[in-house]
Amino acid sequence: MLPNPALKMLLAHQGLKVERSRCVQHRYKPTDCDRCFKICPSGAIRWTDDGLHWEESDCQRCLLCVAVCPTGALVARELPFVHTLKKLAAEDRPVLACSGRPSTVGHARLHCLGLLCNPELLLASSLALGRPFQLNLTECRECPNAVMLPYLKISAEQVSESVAHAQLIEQTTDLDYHEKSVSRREFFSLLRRQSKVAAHSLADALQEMPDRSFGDKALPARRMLLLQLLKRLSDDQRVDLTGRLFPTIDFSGDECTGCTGCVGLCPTGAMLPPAMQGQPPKAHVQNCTECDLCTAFCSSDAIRIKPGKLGLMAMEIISAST
Amino acid sequence: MSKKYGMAIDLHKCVGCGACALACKNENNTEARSDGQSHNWADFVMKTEGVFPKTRYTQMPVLCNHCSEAPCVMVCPVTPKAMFKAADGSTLHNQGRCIGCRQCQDACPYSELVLDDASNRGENSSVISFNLHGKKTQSAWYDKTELIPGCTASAAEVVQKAGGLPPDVNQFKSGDYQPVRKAGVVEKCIFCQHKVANGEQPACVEACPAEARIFGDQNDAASNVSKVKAANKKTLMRYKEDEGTEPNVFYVRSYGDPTV
Repeated sequence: MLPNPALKMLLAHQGLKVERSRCVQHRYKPTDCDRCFKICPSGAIRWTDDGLHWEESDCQRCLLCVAVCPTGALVARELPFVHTLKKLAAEDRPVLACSGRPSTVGHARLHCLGLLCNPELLLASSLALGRPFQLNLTECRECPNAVMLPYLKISAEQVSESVAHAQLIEQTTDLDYHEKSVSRREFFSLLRRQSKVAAHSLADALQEMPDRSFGDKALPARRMLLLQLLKRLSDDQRVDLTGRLFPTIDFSGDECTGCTGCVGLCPTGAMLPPAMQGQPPKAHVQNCTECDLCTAFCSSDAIRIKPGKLGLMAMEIISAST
Repeated sequence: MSKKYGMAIDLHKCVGCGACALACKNENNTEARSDGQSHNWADFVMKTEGVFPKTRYTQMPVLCNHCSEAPCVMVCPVTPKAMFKAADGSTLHNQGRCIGCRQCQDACPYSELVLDDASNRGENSSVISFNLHGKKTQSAWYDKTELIPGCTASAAEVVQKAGGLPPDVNQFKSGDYQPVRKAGVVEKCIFCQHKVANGEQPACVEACPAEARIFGDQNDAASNVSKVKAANKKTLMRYKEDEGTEPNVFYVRSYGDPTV
């Protein structure tokens, strides 16, 4: 037992939150989603009698499970990613590093850059920053989390086809890092700002939201971020990107019985109830994270999902993990 | 020995007055029939045969059979199951875990996904009802039309004045069950768990003027339900026995086929 509750909260901050109500297997047991089990290098993510379980003592905090979970059932207890992006956006040549290797340099830190093995998050970062940014991987090889490197490369490769910007820097000589020189006044205002953010995050953690009920719909944070960023694009760009990124969902009218089971199954709210009972549901593709719960569930095989770019990119990571 | 709740319905005594069904609706705040969902946890199936004057009318009360081999529990895809067997043998439901896939409704031999008009004549019924996705529950109480304009109150006004939804809401606390369900979940009889846990009888049993409904612990030989079961051993019937669901609701009638 830690004597200090605040200290305990800070440490809990580095772990994972398991939201079982979001988990595909928890919602519909017959599905065979095993993305997190497969990618975890240390067997810290398991299926127990209680269901999805994160074994804290076995976890290396590489965040690969968070990156591959399609529905946001595994959440990293970190500051919202927006904070990281804000820090990077203030730099001309932003460098993102990790707190696992404090000796590396960077303008912002994630616990492990393994989080960016999710191409969707990497894409969102590229859209948010709108200019090249470097991922400081110079010490990754000596880190137990080096397993995430090949996935990160695939992730960056996938994204570079759409909006090339993330640069994976493995040699110190390739790193282009400039520390901002700050005046005394700037230093103290920076310190004040940072402390404020830290205090806020601690306060948020102290009054953590209770677990969602299974019936609630919720988007993974990265999808919410992406949707917000898409709004900022010009109309042409937005239409072009949304057309490619998201899947298309069709219902075969003859086979759909209108039971609306898929509306209930969907954890993210991509299936909306029909206007008239008995009709097929309405698809809201921007909310679809292609977890394939609905297609696995539909006994009349009436749902046809044509993957979008986001789904295809995610599949590249998942197939590499087998 | 753990409890195993069960109910016997003595059809010699039942006259089909419907007091049980009304008491249930009142107790459990169940909605009015809409969209093919009866929301009747206690309901009836009825059958009229023959040509006048040689006619025959059969009426049988139906409710969740709290089956020992409950198909609704077996198919529930959620972990931990939203539809589950409690230690006392009753089949209960957790609305916080229910995702509204309706597989329980589909699997239950006593339930229909959507009831047609024939259900108004008692030709069929459904012991599991569903609160449609995206539709407000208790929706009839949002209606603002006044039956006699300027004279009678609208449903919405009654709700506002009474401060409950429905206005006469019975606020019970019962483990996993909420007194009013939300949209996108199923609902069904819970053997009035909130009353039984406090040593009371289910509302339908209390309301029956003929004492045709007998509720109790089947594992207790001294309980009323065990006595009724023992006394009518030869003629005891269960609804759709051949489905193999091992219902815990028993029907007593010594002549003819009581099931409709």
